[in-house]
Amino acid sequence: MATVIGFEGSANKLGIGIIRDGVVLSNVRHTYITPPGQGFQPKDTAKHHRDHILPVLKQALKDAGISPAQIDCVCYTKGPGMGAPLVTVAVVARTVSQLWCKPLLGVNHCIGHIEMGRLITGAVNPTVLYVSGGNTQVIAYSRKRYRIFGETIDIAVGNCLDRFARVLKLSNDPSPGYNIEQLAKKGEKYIELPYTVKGMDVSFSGLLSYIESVAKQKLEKGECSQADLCYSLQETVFAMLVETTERAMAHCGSDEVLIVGGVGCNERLQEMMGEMVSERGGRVYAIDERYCIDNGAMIAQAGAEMYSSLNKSGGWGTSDCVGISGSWCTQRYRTDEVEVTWRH
Amino acid sequence: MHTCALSLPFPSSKEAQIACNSLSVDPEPRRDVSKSLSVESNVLSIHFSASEARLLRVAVGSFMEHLILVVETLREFGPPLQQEEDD
Repeated sequence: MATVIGFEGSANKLGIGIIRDGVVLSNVRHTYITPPGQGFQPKDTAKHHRDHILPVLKQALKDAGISPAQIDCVCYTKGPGMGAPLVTVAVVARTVSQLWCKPLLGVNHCIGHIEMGRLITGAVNPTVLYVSGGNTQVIAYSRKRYRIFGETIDIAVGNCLDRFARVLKLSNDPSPGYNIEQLAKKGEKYIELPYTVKGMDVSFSGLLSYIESVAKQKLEKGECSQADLCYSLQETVFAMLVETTERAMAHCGSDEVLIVGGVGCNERLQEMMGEMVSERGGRVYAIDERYCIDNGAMIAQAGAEMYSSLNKSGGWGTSDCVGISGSWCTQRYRTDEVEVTWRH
Repeated sequence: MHTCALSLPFPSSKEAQIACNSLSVDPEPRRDVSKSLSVESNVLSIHFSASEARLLRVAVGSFMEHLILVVETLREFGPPLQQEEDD
């Protein structure tokens, strides 16, 4: 039986969660919410994490009802993400791992999302669509790696949605994407937007520039509403994602899709994906905002898989993600860099 | 060359060593700034050097933020547990 604590802070969400053998004992999150029209900057985000990490850690231990001595392994997000917030969280993870005399493991953030999605949904070998503010990837597992079949060639889909929310001065509470989704439900008119799929890859930056300029003109002239723009943006970007995911499924002969990452809790995306997958006779696995949006439990879950496979293989001495000296952070850390030692 | 030297006493040598380990890992983002940490009994010593005073100020400022976080973590979650298992 292994009890693992995970620390996450690669973007504006600070999360600490504790997992024991696939059961979430606690999962506390504190989100840095900026005023409407503003994004989050690394320096301010790091300050947010510094200000809240110790109370969040206390709460995570309290919710789980365990003492530090009962923890077997401390895990933190090694990357990818923003440098300053990553290091802030890593500094605390390093310190408690030494205080409590527990091993320390660095976890790839993307792998955290995938493993948490698999745990919560029970999907065995799905094609994974990972969509968030920082990442957009279509992934499938093959021979010890989560392989990237397609990805964005510029900005992430969540970044595109967030930045358009800023143009409309929508609230960032609880998240800009959520407020776009709510407004989109009232949209009636579809405005044609650039649809950019290049092979297996997608692109959103041209689409964003276009809608930014069109929005200003059309709103001033009263030709459309904010809701119409949100609706058209969602329909377009989600269609691009569904198209590339379908192609990856065809490549892999897979009939399951798992959607993870912050944008994954968008119900319209889940619905569109569901239509495509049901036509293929397959099934979509989606998860709610507790586990879709960045959280500590997902780092604990991926860490728990690493921990048990290290125990089995006796690889503690050779892995480069182990211990204090290997506990650096990296802003760039691709999903396919990690050897997935815990799957066949 | 601009330099800055700090020495900080901790309640015990164990805690000074924990802080040293937690704060030594991350390389300075700029190559023209260097920092070295060492522990002697319960005192953590840090030595910075940089080509410009401006860079030195930024490096020391950022280090202090992490140092304060480590000190608060030690205060909230310390003192260090004794290693109970045989490994």
